[in-house]
Amino acid sequence: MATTSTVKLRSGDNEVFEVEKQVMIQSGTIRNMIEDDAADGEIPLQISSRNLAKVVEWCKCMQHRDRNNNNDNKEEEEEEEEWEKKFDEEVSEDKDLHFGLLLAANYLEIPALLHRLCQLAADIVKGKTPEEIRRTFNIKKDFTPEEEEAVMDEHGWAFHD
Amino acid sequence: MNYLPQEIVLDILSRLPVIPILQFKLVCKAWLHTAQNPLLASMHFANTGKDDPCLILNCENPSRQQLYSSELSSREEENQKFQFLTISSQAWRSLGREHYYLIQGPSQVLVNGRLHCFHWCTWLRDEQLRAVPRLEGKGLFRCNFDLVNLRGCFDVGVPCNNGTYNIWVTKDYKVKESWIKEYSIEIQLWNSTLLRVMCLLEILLQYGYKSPVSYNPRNGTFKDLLFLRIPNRFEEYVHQGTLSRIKNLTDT
Repeated sequence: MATTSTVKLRSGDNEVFEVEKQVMIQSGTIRNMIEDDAADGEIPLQISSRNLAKVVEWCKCMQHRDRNNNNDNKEEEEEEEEWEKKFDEEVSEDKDLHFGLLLAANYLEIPALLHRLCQLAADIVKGKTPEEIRRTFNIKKDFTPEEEEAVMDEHGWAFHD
Repeated sequence: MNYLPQEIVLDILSRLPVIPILQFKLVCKAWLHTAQNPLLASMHFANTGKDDPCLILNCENPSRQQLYSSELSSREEENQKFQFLTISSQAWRSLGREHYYLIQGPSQVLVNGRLHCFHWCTWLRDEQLRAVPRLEGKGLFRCNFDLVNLRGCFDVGVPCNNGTYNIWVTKDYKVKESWIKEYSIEIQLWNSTLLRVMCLLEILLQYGYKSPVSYNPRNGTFKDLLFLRIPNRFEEYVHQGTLSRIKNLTDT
């Protein structure tokens, strides 16, 4: 086993993050590397420094929360909830960050983060009309009127309030 | 969202109720393609157990048949929203009939794509009839029990004479030993019908044509569900939205 207690992650834009192994074992990908003694040098990742910083921050917060789970420290609990709320807001408002983190969580195999980001994405889509969704995600409508009508015909009842 | 891997998009979609998924199909061709992925129906089914079902009210008065559907919520203060559907248009008729037919009557129930009624279960894919073993000695007689669906499980409610309504649950009804008595509700209900166990918290009971009553087994309290602006006479069906489709059945 490796002797150091930290792991070095290098982002796609060459910024190095030194993080405790205990924090990063939440990532299946990193955990495998640690177990295989392949995490001694820098680990190059195709993730931007901005997104990687956010992932590391999230992992630290979750590890902190899990460690303190048995404590009844109300103040810390509130602080963590506040942090998570801010995280949700920030991600929901920034589409590039949201999608970048989805890809990073998928690549790094962090199921809890992936689930949270998927739920946030579902909440954004829910309650929007197809037109509003197109505007939100900059999507061009590529249906011909006939094709659109065919989909409408199949599920017409779902599109009326 | 177009450049996200397919499995992530499916994960996101499977967390949505049925109607937003149908709307998703209208966004663009790529999204339509994703929403038609056969994997989605099973992923969605696995996730919907966490959601509350919707309640469909069937009113036969006035003469035109109408359906109202309502998202049921275990959260107390939320407003009930109805979607108004009519069976008069050709397009809707086939889809409506699909759901309507399958959950018609409290003792027919759709679990995991199979239609169950009394002693028989039909596997709709190959249309084979299979017998479900009877629960001898558990108070189950031909006419006094109701089948309901609890998050993919299979329940039987048994109204008894002594004012206790027993609910038996099984995960695998082929195994007789897997039936367990999940709830015993101490009530005197005349001619009551158990609609469905909602989540693990709420049980809906129906008396004839009256509004359903919701029962919370944790604290033993009852709550009337009132629906405003809906005709007085209706039958309720609890429907768990699913993307599974049963083709050909609707055209017969």
